[in-house]
Amino acid sequence: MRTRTEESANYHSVFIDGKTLRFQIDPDRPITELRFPEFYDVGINTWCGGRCSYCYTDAKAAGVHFPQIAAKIQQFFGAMNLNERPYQVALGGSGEATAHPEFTAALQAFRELDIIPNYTTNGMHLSDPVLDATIEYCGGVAVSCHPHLERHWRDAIRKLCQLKIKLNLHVVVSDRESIQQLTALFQEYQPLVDYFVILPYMTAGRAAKRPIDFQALEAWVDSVQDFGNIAFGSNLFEFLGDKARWDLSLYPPEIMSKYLIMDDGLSLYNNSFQMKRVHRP
Amino acid sequence: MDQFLAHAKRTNMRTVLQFHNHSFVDLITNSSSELFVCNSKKSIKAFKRLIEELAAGVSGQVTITPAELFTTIFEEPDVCRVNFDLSQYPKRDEFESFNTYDQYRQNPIYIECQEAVRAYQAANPRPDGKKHTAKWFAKVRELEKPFDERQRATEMAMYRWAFEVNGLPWIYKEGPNYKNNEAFWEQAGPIRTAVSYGYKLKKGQILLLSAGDNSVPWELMEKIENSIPCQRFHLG
Repeated sequence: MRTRTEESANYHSVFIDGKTLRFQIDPDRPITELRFPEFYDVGINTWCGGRCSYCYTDAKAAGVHFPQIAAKIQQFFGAMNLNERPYQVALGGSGEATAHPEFTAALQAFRELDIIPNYTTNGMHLSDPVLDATIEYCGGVAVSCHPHLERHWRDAIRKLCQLKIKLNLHVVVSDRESIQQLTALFQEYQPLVDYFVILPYMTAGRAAKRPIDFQALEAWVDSVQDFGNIAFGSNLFEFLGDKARWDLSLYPPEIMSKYLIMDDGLSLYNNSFQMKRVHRP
Repeated sequence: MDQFLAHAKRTNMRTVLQFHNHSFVDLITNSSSELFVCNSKKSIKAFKRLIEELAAGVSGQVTITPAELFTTIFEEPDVCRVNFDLSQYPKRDEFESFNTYDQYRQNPIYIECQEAVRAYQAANPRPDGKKHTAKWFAKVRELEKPFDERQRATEMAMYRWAFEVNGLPWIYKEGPNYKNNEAFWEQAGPIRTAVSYGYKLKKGQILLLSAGDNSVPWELMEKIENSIPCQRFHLG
């Protein structure tokens, strides 16, 4: 169990069994933006062989793997005390993290700092060393269910389930057809998956404009009996604003998290899709 | 007011801990997936684990087992289903003048009714015999009726407002029997307790009720209060 407190942000939290419970110190004041984020999305490369036409970070096979990752992790997070250090990090915001030659070393470096690493993958590079390191160091894994990479993500789900690794599925929703795919995935994998993380299609990077059928998404969520398996991306914040019936705890996006790129400058941004530069704490 | 008895019996003399929980997150796999469903079984499970962890560190002659933690020490944690803040009620002054102990005794209607009761009792001492006593009490109740009716009306108006604010359908059925309105009191009961003991309710907030009076070892209570932002109310 770990705890963190930032009195100036009216924030106290407890991290137990991989879960974070957050509390307001003064119940009549909101939690404000944390000086030291509770979790980071960490980009360790811009390389990806998935060739998604709609990639919002524009990752590609011509991308790079940032060097000296383990040392940079020590440099950035090792300088923090335990109250300042995040509970968890999510790797994979800028490219396919598992393809990075230093990937397992990065997982180990985080764990040695008492930070739980998790990652998102398209499932194309889940080798035995990666899976072994996942078991040893990670809290869990998210598999992105890109329609054109079905063979890979189905294989990844099978491997991760066999190893009893906590599993999320990331599903990008846009038109009615994508919500039908979400419905089918939910029916097929619900017993095996911790969360179906619903992420809206984003017109960023090399992604062409495509409308999101919010009506169909709302109807689908309403049809689900138990919301315990569903999570929403922060850029669905506005859509979720009037959905009190779904028992969501909404708070301004990015007050708890930041996006760190492990380039030479260790650049910090508000998130991985708006990429607004923020000052390091 | 017999319809309150079931709820009162459930809470009287106990202690409630009201936690200032803000949000719950499980595994984070991407910065854009930080908004998670709250109040699910998973968040309560994590909260129970936290209390178990705190209880495990309590030294004493007897070790608290997880099994007894939420049976003999606390009840199962509950999640508040409504928002309620009496200070936001537009007719708060009127409500309190009829419904809070220190105020209704100054209410002119109450004073008038009590004067009429006292005058009646002075002129008509309590008789002997069941039949005569029943009539005597009926007369006393009749003299108290102008106040009782206003008290009830103002209280129900407050509940109606609270239900409206929370978007709840008004399901109260007129009648004295509690059983007629179990579903209503299930929702209104916590509001009544909050009014009685002067606290607010926030939807999603975790409430932990002691299993009995003094059922929580002081060391555990102190540890919880020092570890997690919360407020304690004794429902005495």
